[in-house]
Amino acid sequence: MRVVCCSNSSLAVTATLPSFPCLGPRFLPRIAIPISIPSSAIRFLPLRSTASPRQITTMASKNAQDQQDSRLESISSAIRVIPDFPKPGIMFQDITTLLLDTKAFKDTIDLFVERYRDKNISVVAGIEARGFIFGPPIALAIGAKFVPMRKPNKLPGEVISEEYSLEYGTDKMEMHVGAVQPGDRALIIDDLIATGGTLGAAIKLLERVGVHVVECACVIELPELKGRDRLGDKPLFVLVKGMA
Amino acid sequence: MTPDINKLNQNKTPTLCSISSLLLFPNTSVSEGNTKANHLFLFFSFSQHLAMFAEENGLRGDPRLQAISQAIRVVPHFPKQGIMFQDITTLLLDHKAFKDTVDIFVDRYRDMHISVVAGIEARGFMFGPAIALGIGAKFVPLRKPRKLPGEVISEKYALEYGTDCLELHVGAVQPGERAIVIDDLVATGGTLSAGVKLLERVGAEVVECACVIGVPEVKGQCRLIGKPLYVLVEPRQADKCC
Repeated sequence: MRVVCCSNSSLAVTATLPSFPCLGPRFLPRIAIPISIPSSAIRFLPLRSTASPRQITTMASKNAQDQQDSRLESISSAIRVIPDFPKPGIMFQDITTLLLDTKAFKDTIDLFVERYRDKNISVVAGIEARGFIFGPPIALAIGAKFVPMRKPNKLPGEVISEEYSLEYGTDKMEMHVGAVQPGDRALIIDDLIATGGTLGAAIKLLERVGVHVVECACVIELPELKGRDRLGDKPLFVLVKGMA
Repeated sequence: MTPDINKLNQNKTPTLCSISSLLLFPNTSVSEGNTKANHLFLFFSFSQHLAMFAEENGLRGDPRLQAISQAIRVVPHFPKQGIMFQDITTLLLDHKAFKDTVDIFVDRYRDMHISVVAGIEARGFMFGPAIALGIGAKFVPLRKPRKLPGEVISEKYALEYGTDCLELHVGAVQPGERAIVIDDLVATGGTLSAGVKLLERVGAEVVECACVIGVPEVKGQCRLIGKPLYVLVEPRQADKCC
């Protein structure tokens, strides 16, 4: 069955200012749906199982689904929105508050690890700098190497570069020569996908050296910015969606 | 001689120090007494000047340290002539050595009631979160200016030429929390020192600073940081082969 995944069009983000979740009001939660969408198919992951003839299976999947929902709910609630940062009109999704919530941070890592542990991933590539926070724990748990994708002139030794466009101007991403081998299976991690420019550059860098990019994974997606369109044929997996 | 904390903590035989601490803290077990004695010893000995290298502090001959050291690549003349850059990215490519690095820190800090792991941008981000997850602490990034959204406090520190600045989110850390500061390497201690000051300004107690690599000179420079420093390996001069 193919069903379009539900969007969070009913949500309005009321970002009352910025207080850490433990101290102040929580903003409206976004719908948290783990979505993996290859370009050829859209799969719907139901949030709640409805009654079915096979009660035992339903109960098992319902319990597992409930557990997943509550983890996603707390992850979503732990992310703080800062209006007008870095400039007016931008609603910045701040994951530092997620890192302060030990259970939610652990759940975030666990959700990625559960997804990728049996996919023979040999490389987790994390994008500077917030990808460095999520990537290494995932890499350690699934037995993969961690490779930092960095801003220019940070990596010592021989690098390859990929330019990508920003709203105004361009930026460059670098990776060490020899960090990855042809045939490596890679996962690319960042905290958030917006326009997809950074992830797109990372995909190109890895593919240039013969790596197979299995999937891109982010904690947050801003679907309005259509970042998925810049990923070519690479699937994207996210935990929560936010308003741009 | 620097105290061998890990060995002492495992010692179940009461020492003179631990008997004294048992008198001060009744209702503790012998090994708890030893732990408290070690903390007392640290407090009364010039703890702020202690730079502890793992090899001399409970991990002598531990093969993990050798593997960690070998996994770090030395890149000569980066970022400028004369500097032998200690490149930890090769350590991150060696899954076992990377895991061992994190495990050594987790083993050290898990029973020290640390609630905050503060990591210095950007290479501190590669080690800090895994350690935080391993010991059940929060992870707090200490960042370059204007990266953190919302309200921050800043601390300037000296570079060889000029100054730089580290920032911490207001509200990320509460007064009384016990914290450690993590970075990949310590040389002059300027960055760590700024991190310590930021945390102390919000009332946290910085228990220790921890780095994968530390230049031997830090043994004499701990006064700058003002906190005990725990380091896994020394820098290597050059890679042997082609």
